[in-house]
Amino acid sequence: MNSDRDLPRILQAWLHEDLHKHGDRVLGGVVDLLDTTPQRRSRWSAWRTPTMKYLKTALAIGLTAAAAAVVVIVGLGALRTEPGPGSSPSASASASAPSSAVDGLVNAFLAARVAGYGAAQYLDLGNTTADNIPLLYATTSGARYERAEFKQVPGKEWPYGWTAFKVRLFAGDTVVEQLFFAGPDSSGLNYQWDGFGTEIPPTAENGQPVVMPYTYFDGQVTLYAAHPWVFPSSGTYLTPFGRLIPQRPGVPPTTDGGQRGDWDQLFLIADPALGGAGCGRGPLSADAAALAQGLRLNPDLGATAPVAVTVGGQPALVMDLVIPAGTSISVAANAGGDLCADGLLNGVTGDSMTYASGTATSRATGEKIRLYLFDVPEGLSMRIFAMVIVTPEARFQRAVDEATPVIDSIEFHTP
Amino acid sequence: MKRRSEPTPITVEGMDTDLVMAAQNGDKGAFTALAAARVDRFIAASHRILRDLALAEDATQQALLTIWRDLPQLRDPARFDAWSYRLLVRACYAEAGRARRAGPNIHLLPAQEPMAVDRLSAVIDRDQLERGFRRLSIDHRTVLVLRYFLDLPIEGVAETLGIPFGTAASRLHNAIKGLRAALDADARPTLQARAR
Repeated sequence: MNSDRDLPRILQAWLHEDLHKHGDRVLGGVVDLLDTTPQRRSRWSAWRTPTMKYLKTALAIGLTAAAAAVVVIVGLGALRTEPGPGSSPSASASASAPSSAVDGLVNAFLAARVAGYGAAQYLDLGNTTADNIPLLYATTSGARYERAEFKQVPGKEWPYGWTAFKVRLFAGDTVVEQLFFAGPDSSGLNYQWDGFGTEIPPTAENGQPVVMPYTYFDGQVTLYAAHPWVFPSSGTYLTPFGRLIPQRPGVPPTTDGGQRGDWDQLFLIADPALGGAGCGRGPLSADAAALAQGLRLNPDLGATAPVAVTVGGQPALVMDLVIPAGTSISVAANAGGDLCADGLLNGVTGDSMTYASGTATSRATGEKIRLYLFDVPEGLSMRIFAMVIVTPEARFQRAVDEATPVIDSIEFHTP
Repeated sequence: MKRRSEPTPITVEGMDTDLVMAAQNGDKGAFTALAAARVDRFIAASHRILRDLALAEDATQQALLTIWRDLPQLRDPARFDAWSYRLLVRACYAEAGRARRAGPNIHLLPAQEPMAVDRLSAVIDRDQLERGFRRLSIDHRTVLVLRYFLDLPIEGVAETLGIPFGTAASRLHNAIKGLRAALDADARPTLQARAR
């Protein structure tokens, strides 16, 4: 029997077992929502109209809203020269004909942003809102946009066959750049909070990635981070963690959410625990010093002595751990095999995990840990808070350097 | 158990095309008929991609509503199924992003020593497949589901994911390789706990 040929057959048979037969409830829910879900019609037909006619419509949106404003929407594909960040706003309206239907959509979107309203109708927002698009109508200082331009981002194979556009919006000397995406079946432009994890920041202002706040643990912890860090919104993960985009040109896009092997990671852990079985065990150490001492005394962890530091105005202990690659390592897990949220060593567990009696056992990856431990202020639901950088030794210094402003930004809030 | 020996082109014809065109014009009854014929298959496909029934139902509901919302923009009604699969996959990715749980990076290692027996020629039970499948990335689970559950040809997989044919073929190959590695790893002796 040739196993390479058999695996697809076995897989196919397994996938076709136990077909779902109870979609009535889902269908009923969909039917109930049809009346409140209008179909989208107008925009695509607009894309198919002659381009200059459509462009006039797009420009009218902006000019109606701000009669005094002069709006210049230029597709860079038609530009011979590209104005720099310091160039003055044009005093006369001009426009190039869009080279494609998508150009028309981007032009209309930018016209609305310059006008100061109506941009959301050109976005495919999914379950989010336009409020989650950074700097939609103004710069970080609140300055309104005066003109805009865009260009296609070449050289990358974006997920879903999407095309990426870098838009630029000008407000005096300030230039905001953002990535937006469109696909052949898109209902609007799409903004990705992680930009699909490439070297291109999803939002930048005057060339600097825009710092965004991220709040976790029911509002008790806030940090501020910018590209190349990617932090998900609160509630996405049981254990919040940020990932550091690799430092090199031409980083390929990804949708894999953490399984790409070259991410460095920064975990946020409330009441961290080293071992034990099962989840929901509660705090296992009296304070940060006791936890640090326990780590230091465990010979398997390769822990350095804890050093008292001040991080973002907060007293903390910092130490490094290195568990040699291949060391058998057990962390707590629930009955479903998910690692518990408080697992201090979750980030260095590796391949071929096995589960038994509330523990998950694997071999350590050999990655290095930089650990920051905080005794949190009274009134929070946690006693100890940990920030854990996990990275291979070769990338350790870069990860620590990149993490420093994020760690320094930590804020604790009493509920 | 349902299996097809030949891949099925992802087009709709005849009555379904009429239903698609009626639904494009706002006919809720026509859309409901289209959705009813597909909802179980959508849930099943998204369940296999997401490995969680609740997430799969949410993804299916979101996909069907997006299909309804954007249906007037579908230029070729005969491409309804290909287009709807693409929206379903996109909804699955969105659900996976919302529900993802922090955990370790699981790197699948190739077998480190020659295996004494061909383990695939022995019985692979459902639990093994389930564990191996869970260890794959969502990209790999998706490509396997499109190919071996929805029975799409590689051209259809590429079209659904919006990627070139070569990329789809390569991803499918790597997904099978990854599943094989996961099954092999699962068959190794259990490691003993040391660090506590």
